[in-house]
Amino acid sequence: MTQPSYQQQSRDLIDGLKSVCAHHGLGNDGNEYKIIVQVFLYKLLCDKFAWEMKRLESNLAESEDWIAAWHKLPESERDLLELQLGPDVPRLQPEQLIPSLFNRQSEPGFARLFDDKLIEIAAANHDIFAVRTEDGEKVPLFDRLSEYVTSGADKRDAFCRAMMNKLAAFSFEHLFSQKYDFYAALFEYLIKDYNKDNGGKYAEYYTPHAVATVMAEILVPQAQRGTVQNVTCYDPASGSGSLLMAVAHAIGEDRCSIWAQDVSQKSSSLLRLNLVLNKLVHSIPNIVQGNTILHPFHKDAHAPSKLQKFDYIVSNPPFKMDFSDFRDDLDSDANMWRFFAGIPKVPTKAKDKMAIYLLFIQHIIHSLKEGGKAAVVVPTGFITAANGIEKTIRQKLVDEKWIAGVVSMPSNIFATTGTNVSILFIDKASRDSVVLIDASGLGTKVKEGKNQKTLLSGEEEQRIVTTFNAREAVEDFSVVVGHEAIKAKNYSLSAGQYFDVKIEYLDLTPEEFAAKVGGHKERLAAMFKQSHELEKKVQGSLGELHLV
Amino acid sequence: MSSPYTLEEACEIRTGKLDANEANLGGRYPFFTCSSEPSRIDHFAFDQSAVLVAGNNAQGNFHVQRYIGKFNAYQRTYVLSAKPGFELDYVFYALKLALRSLKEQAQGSQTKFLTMPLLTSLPVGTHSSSDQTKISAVLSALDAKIDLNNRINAELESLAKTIYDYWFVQFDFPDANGRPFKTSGGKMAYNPTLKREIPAGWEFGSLWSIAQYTNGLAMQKYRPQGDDYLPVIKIKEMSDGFSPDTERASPSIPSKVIVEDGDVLFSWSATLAVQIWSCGRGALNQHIFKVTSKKYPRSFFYFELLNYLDHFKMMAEKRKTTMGHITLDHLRQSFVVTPPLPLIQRLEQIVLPMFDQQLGLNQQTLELIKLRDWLLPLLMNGQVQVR
Repeated sequence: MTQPSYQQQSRDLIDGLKSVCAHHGLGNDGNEYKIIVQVFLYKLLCDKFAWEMKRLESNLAESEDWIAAWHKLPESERDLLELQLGPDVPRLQPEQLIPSLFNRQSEPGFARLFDDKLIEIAAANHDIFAVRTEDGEKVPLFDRLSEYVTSGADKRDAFCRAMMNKLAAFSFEHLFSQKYDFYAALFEYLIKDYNKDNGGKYAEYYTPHAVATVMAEILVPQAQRGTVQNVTCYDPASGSGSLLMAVAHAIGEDRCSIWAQDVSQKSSSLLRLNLVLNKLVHSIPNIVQGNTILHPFHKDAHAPSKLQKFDYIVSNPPFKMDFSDFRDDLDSDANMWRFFAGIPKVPTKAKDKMAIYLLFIQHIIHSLKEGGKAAVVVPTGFITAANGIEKTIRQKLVDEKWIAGVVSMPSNIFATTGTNVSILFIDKASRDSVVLIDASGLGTKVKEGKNQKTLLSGEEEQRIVTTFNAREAVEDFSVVVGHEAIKAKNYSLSAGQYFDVKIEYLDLTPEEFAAKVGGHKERLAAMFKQSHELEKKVQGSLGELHLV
Repeated sequence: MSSPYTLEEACEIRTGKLDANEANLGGRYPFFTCSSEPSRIDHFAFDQSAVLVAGNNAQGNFHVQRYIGKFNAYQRTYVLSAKPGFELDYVFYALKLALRSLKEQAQGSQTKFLTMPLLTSLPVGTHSSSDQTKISAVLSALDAKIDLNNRINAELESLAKTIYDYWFVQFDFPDANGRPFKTSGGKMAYNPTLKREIPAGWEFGSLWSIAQYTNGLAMQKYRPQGDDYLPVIKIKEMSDGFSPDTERASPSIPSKVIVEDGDVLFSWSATLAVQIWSCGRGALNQHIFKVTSKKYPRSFFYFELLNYLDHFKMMAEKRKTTMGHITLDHLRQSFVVTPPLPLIQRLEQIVLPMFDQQLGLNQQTLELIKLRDWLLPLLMNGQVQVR
């Protein structure tokens, strides 16, 4: 029998945890995602710790029960081991590890013990693993998970035991030698049930892989890989961070730091897990839960009244949102500089349709360093709107020569929305021309549940990326235009507006022309003759009609 | 008068076997589905003289078509052939009338499916076999002429376009010696605005500069007061002509938005189209331009607009997230070669008779359709007989 793949084993574990939740009445409960994410994280941290310890001390790796062996070491040696652990490795005690808890699961009050241990871990590792809120409060790593089970103490014990049995079943240690793509797929699988439109506010926590890939490959072209270092990457509406992960992976996880803010509590906790998976633990302190538009958290270290500026920004901000309670607070002198193009009005009939993404784009332009690069997902309507805030923003980007290009994606690239989207590439190291790509014809349509979805193949993604990076003009696909030409077309950034006019005609030799005209002549002669006959026939038959 | 025989008595009824998505645009045979025009398909299942009835339609318009030869049919399309003693052409006309009244009866609770029991019980008529032949001969002569007129016009359109493109797109207009200019080595020069080679010394302009564009008006503001009215030309009328549903406008609208036969119309929103109008005097609705020029003959700006149409359609498609139309800027930025005026006039002389012939035939066709639709019920109910 062949061993199931790591991928499959990890998926089985996730399915197992979800089924334990379902059996204890937590399926589709608002708290289910917290339990799954935190338990998964606990498993990940324990196995990471074990893997690191065994790497440091080969005696431990070889012993039958490494925890016991570690326990038996003299205190000085244990301290020395701990000192050697990297800053992104959690500090754990023997009795906090999964095998230790597994052995104590028959004790009465096990749920309480389980919660206590998680809280201990959270407290001991607070500095590295806590996420902040905009008020500066810190969200600890773990909650008292068993308390989400509302029935009696016995049920809670049983719940924790069931979880423990799933967790102890196999080791994640091989996971740490995997690559980005593996984590991306695993993460997507983990959150797939929580990546839904609940109440219509936050539609998609996970930007499609194709969008993330195209963004990362254009912001950090293959040729530059390995040369970029010590840079900051920011997403002011990070969601679970799939765009940040893609760009961090392109730069190199150890060459950049991640900065994020998102209003959703769920997003922050998903993002933390994503960072742990992707060896970006060092960036967890930069994750802030809060409203970026109202209270941007990341400020300039030297001038707290100014925004912090970043080297790379990637974002797929919400397009529309009810902002009616806050809109007028924003319309203040203090915000004039940040929202230079204006603040969209709240539509009177549909409060929830305020074009919030226009504020995010302006915030992003402001948060980008001189020479920095950004990629933002926008509704395609943004790139052609004839006037309004949209046009003012485009005008700024073009006049300042900050716009590097636009890629218009096929429709239904997001399964949850029919809005056509484009990716806007901003580059503050000014360029002399702009690349516009119309990729709307690419992709294969598939059904996903009730929704139509368009998938881009790897080759199609590469075609977009290669064309953009080579700044190539390809008939009916891409153009490279100067800033003046864009100005002349009312700052439109739609590739279709710049495609060369193609007047279709057949190039005929004089002989072909003569033959073609001759054919028409012959057919017409026959038709005219037939026409005369028919005319006679019609005339004749009309003469035969009589009223009864 | 005997009671009418039903469709079941007059015809063998079969249905097609195929799914609608088996159609293939480039196919060799017609494929009858439930839409008004047949699609194409690569293989045939029928080879006969047949009447085809669409079995379902959301609007309650059940299309009837007549075809002789190899074809294929969708599973909801009925394929009818005549039983001995019955004339299939007669059945065809009887069905046209019966289905028209079926739609009228079903007003409100529209019938969306023409079921087999509904179809088989339809009354066809009472005429004897020889009367059937006579009646269908009258009607099919009219239809044959209508069809022929359309085919003649398609030939003329294609002929005029071929000549135009040969002269002014390919630049093989007759040179001083009457030989094709470019092929005989006429001097060409690259034009950076047009991004192509054009005859040396020729000028260029834009669609905007070669013609005047008069936009139609929102005709609901000009409702007729009395019985006197002008039918309103909207995009629907550009494709289907006037119908009983066509809106009406007051005859006292500004004369610049009154359209006469022969005017060039250009719909610039939603469905983009360019055509020479031939359905009679009407009032131009908004979103359609009447295109005129004091300087250039009609053939010149008509064909230039037509040649740009595909490009406009593409641009409108790209803009669809905001709006499905083109703007004046597009007209200003659509550059065209402007050949010397005498040459344009020479071409106009060649294509003008073709245009006039098309116009005449279209007017004739309208008349024939009117006649056919008036005669159809009279012949079927026996009010009018054929001697």
